[in-house]
Amino acid sequence: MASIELQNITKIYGDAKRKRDLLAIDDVSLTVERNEFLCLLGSSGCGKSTLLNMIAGFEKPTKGTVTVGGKPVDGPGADRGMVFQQATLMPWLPVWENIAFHLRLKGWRKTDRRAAAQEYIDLVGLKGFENHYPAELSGGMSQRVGIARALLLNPQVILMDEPFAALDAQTKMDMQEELVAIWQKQRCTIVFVTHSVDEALVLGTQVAVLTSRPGPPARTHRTGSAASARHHQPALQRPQAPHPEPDPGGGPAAAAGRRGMTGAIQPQPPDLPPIGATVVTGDGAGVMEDAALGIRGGRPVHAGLEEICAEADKDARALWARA
Amino acid sequence: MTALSKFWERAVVPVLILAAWEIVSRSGLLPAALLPAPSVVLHSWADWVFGFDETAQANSGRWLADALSSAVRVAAGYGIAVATGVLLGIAIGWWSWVERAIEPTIQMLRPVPPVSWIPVAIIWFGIANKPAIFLVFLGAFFPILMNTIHGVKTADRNLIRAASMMGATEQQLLRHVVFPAALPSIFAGLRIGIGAAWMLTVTAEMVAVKSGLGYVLWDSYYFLRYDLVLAAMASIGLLGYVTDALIKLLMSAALHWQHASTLQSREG
Repeated sequence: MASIELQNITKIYGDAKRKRDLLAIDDVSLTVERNEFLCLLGSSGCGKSTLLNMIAGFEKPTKGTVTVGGKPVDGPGADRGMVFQQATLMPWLPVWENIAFHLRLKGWRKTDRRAAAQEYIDLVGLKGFENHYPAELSGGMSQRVGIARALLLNPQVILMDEPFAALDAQTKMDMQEELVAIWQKQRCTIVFVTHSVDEALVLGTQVAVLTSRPGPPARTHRTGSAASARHHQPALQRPQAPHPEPDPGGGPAAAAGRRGMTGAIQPQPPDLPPIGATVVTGDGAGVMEDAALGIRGGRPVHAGLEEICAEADKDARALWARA
Repeated sequence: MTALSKFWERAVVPVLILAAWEIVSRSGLLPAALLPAPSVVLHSWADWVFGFDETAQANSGRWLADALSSAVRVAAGYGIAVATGVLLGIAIGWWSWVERAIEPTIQMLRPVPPVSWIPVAIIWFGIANKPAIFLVFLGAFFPILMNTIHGVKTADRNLIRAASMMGATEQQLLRHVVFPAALPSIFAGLRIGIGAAWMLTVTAEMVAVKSGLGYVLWDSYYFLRYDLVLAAMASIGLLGYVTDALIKLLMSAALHWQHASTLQSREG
C-alpha cells in the first residue's frame, strides 16, 4: 500500500512586489511505499522542503493532491511526525516533557507521560538527560529529542527536513547510524530531505532527485538500503557509537532481504573510499536500477546516476584524504 | 568575593548620600523644617510606624494602616490590569482581526496620561477606593498589554509549527506554546506595570482619597511636616521595591529554564 502519494503537484508563490509569480514546483508526482526510506535530494531552492511541508500540511499545493495513508492532507496532524532542521524544542520544558508534548496535549497525567517518554528517551540514547532543558543540550542531543518526539507520535510517516545539516561531520555520522537503527526497529515510512548526495545514498532505500527550480523529481532511484550502509560500517572506521545500538532484527543483511533488495552485499576492499561511493559499489549496478516508482512527470534527469555516484565518490575521496 | 565586601559594595553609595545629607541639614544652610536631617526623618518615621512619642502627631502609629490601604488599592488595580492586559494582549497578538478591531482605540487611549483621568474618575466613582483603583489599573494596563502583544508576536513560529505537527488545537497552542513563549515579555510588562501602579496610587491618594501613604504625604505638606513627607516618600519607595522583588522572585521561578545553562556553568 502506498503510504504517501503526491499527484501532479504544482506550487506557485505569488510575488506581489515584483508582479511576477514564482514557480517553485512544476508538476511533480511521487509515490512512497510503506516502510520505505525515501531521500529527497536536490540543491538549495529546488523545492524539496516545500514538498515536505506539503506532506506535513504546513503548505498547500497550488495544484495537485497530497494523500497520506489514503487520506488527503488538509493540515498538520499527529499522523505525520516531523523533525525540523533546527530541533525547535519548547525551551521551557525539560527533555522528557518535550518528547511527551503530544501526550500533554492529549491530557495524559504527568506520571503516565513520564513513563511513556522513557521508552523513546532510551531509544535515542538520552538516558540521564531527561530533566535537562534544551538550552543545556548540544546540537546533536537536541536533534535526538526532536526525533524521539516525532517517534512518540507513532506516526505512519516521519518527515525530516535536513535534520543533520547543522551538525558536525562526526555527530552527523553517528546520528545517521542511529537513525537507520531506529528506522529498522520502528518500521515506519521516512521522507528525508537533504542536499547531500552522500547522505541520500547512505540513508535512503530510495532517492528522488529534484532538478533545480522549478523542480520536478527527475526519477526515483532505488539505492542500496540504509541497512547496507550499516553493513559497510567497518570499512568506514567509524568510532564506536556512544550508545549500544539496538538489534535491527536478524541483522542488516536479513533486513535488506526482507525489503526486497537484490544483490549480495560485498565486503569492501580496504582501499575503497567511504560513505556514498561505498554503498553504490557495494550493491552493484544491478541494485541501482531505476525503480521508476511513481514517476509520471517524465522530465529529463537532472544529473545522471553515474554523475551522482561520481560526485559522491569524489566527495568521499576528499573526506577520506582529509581524515 | 566575601559576602561582607559584597554588602559594602552595595551599601557605600546610599551611606555616603545619607551622611552628606545629614551634614548639610545640620550645618544650617537651609531651615531645619525644610530639609530635615535623615536622623529626624527616621525618628518621625519610627513614630509613624510604632507610635511611641507622638512626633508624627495624628499619624502616630498609623503607618501599617496607611501602607495597607495603599497596598490594597495597588493590588486591586494591578490585579485587574494583569488579568485584562495579558488576556487582551494574547488576543491582539494572535488574531489579526482582534488587532484590527481594537488596536487603534487602544493606541489612542495609551498616550493620554492616567493622571488626566482623575476628574472623570472622581465623577464616575466618587471619593473612595474606586477612582484610585481605576487609575492604578490605567497605569499598569498599558505596559502589560504592550509587552504581552510583543511577546505573542515574537513567539517562535517554528515552535507553533512543531506543536501543530503534534496535533495541537488553537486553544492548546495558545495555552501550551504561545503563553509560555510570551512569558519573558509578559514579566517585563509586569515589572514596568508595578512601578506605574505605585505611582498612580499615590497620585490618586493626593487628590481623590482620604487615606494611604499618598494622603499622608500631601497632608503633611499642608502642615509643613517635611520630615513626614520624606518618610512617606521613603515608605512608597520601600513598598515599591518589595513588590518588585516579589515579582522578580515569581519570575525566576516561572522562567527558571532561561537560567538553566548559566547555572550549569557556574557550578562547573
